Amino acid sequence: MQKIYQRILFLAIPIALCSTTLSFTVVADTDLGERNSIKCTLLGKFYAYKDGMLALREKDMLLAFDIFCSLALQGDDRAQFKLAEIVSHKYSSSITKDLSVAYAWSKLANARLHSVRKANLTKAIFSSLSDDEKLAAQGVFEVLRTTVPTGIRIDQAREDIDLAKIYSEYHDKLKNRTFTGSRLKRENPAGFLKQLSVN
Amino acid sequence: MVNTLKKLLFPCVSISIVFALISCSSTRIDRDESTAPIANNEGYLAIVVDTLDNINNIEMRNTEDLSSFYIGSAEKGFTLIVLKVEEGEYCFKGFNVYNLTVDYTDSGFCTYAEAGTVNYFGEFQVRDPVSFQVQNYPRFVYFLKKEYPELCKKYINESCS
Repeated sequence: MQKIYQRILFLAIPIALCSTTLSFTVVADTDLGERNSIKCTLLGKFYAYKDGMLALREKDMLLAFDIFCSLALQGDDRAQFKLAEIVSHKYSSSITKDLSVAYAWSKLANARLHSVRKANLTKAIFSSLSDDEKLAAQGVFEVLRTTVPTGIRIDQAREDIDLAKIYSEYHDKLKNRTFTGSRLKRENPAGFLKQLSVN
Repeated sequence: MVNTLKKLLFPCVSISIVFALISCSSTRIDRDESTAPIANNEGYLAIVVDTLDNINNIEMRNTEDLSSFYIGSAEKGFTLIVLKVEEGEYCFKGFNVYNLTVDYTDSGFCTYAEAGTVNYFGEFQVRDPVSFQVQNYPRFVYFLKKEYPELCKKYINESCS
């Protein structure tokens, strides 16, 4: 019986973490007098990291949060770091503060592409957590680590290129330029070869 | 009086244009300059160029003020280029190789450079007919540690020391 409880507990903890990790409550500006609940999800439209930074510059925290969330889920380590800063209230208090989540994103951002500022933020957040929060934060990080990539830069939409076609055109171009460097060779290759053979 | 003002107008305008260009310019830095303090709105932009031939007149573009600037050349092999730039988006616009000009105006490689940090642009592999931009962070850190140890220590991590 005890083993069954242990197994249930073993399954329940990751499921609970999964369901809470990617959902943050966003409190709109008090002027609006409203509370909206949104989730950290992938956005349908393409946004580059620059768009998030511009939203941050314009102090549009909700848009910045949406863009950085979407980029963070796609693996942009810079967006993961910005998300950690936003959730830890570096810029504004319009987003609900969640230091466990901030710690997890910050640690993930620093997992592959290291930087001093990422390490400093991770350390600072971790030192401000209670023991229970530290445990929860580690759990959130483990979930993120296994489900979200990192170390990717998303600066522009990528278009698929047909390498085979490009190389085929390239080789065709080279074939046509067999005789180059001399007008004589280019304009009358047969005569030039004949001249060579006579010599 | 009017003539005097007219005479003064040209030098004043010229001097102000020169000062404006100097203050806005994005510059390639060497090791000694890497220890100099930077302004609040400035950061570093680092590019690793991997080329099979010497390339020169490498041109970058700032997409916010639409200004273009040259960052010099890169010799055959790997070259780390570190620029001191104002925060904003920068694109790799083109370069010259032999007597050819390669221009990426329409499909350039762009990235956002943040203030107060070293922004890794990527590794630009110059090839014919297709050039690529790839991410090779360990190689970037290797070159940064070798050529700009102060920047590496200050912005990347303790393994640089």
